[in-house]
Amino acid sequence: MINGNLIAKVLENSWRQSPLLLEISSDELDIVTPMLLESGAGALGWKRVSNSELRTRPAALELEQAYRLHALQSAIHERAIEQALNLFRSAGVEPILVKGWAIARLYPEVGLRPYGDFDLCVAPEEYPAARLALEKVLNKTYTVDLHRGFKTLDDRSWEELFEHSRLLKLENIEVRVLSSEDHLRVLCFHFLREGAWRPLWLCDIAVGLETRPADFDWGLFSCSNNRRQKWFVCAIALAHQLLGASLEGVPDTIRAERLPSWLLPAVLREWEVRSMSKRHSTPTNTAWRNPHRALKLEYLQSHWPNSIEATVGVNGPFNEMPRLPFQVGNCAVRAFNFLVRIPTRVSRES
Amino acid sequence: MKKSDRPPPKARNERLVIKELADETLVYDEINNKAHCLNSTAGLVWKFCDGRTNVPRITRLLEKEMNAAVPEQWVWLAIKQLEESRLLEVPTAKPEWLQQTSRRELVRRLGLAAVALPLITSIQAPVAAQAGSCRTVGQPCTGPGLGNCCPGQGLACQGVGPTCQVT
Repeated sequence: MINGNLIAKVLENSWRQSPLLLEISSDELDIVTPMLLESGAGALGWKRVSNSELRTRPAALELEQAYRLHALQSAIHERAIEQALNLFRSAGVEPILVKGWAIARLYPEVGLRPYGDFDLCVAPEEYPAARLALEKVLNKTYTVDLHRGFKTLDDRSWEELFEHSRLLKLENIEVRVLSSEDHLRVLCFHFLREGAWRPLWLCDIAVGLETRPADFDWGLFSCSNNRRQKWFVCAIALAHQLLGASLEGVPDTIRAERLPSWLLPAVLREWEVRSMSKRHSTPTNTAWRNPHRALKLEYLQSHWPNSIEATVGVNGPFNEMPRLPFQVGNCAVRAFNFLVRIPTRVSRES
Repeated sequence: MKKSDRPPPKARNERLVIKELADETLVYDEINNKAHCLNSTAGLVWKFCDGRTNVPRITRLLEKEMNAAVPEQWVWLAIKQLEESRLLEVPTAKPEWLQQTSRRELVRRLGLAAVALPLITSIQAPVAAQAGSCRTVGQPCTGPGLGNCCPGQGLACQGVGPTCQVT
């Protein structure tokens, strides 16, 4: 996991206004740059490298290009957010924006944290109207990931999360986002649910942690379900141990948490092998059309759940038990869900 | 054409997304689907191209901003690059010597001072990010059309970067 450690070293404190000087060799920079770029952390990599002697290396210049690209894309996306919100509000829907801009704004510069689509959550009863409003727009220049409530992101009700949400100014519009407490919890859950494959998401947790307001309510962040609470606390501990996120002011009960021995190596391994990235390039919704390809070892390997994704996927505990049973269980659940959906896919496409 | 007959240059502002950084100006041209990076000198010249200010006056304004003597050649070089990048509303009549002088030639003549020469470069997705498996939503891709976006996901390679976007 040499490369996983290298990624962590480059991204350490990268979200801060003045991160520490990066000390790596030019060969190491050449190795880590493609991984940073592929995972969307190129701009953060540039932030670390830009004050070092490596700043004129070809690899560093690629990171600088990524930074420029993300900065420009953020300006474009901000316009699109305004269009999307106006669209929903004119249809009588009040969405909550999560991840994306909601977290990018906490970084010292918006260009440091790229985002492609907008995650907008709407009240379950407003989902049909929201979907209809979205479908009516032709030639959209943006992509909205529309969520019915928060069921895929959190276990709290829409009403609870909406009650604590707040409005933030973005140019000519107000954007509704989650409370700092709820957003940090959602970021932790999302990172783990996705198998921790993207280092950028751990940076998000670090940023959410370090930029939390003075009146941050740890009680509101916390979960009554002990198992889930342990997940979130471990995510915060990972941000601290891998990326140097500060735990100043964090309650002792959270600071004292010990990571299970398999967790940190699992994260580093995932950053190195990037199996989730390979999985996205061969989604299961195309597998039934090319079954011979779906049965190839490379395909199956990329779809085998890592221990983090598997555990969270079956609502398992973060303890010292071996992870294989959770991986097998998660695989069985996903395979079942896939098979059950085949008739629907076939009829949709015929 | 006499110098005094040349209409002053005017910056385009329609269908452009502009992002100012500390030392650069980033521009996305929605019409031509291109992204540009203007260094500080080029960015200043572009800012002064208001359709009313001629090149000698722009030069003086640039000198004031940079707190240094600036040859008028620099402003013409910036205007040439702005035109080539389609960031001016209409082409401006330029002096003949500009046709024969490239930025490279000026760099050679100026030596270390060349770092302040106006420069406009294209912003493209880094090559390293394009290697490996096919690209999914939001990832950089190669060229128009499908590029190397993953098939079967309704993606097309377009926009700033460009990147794979849902069609």
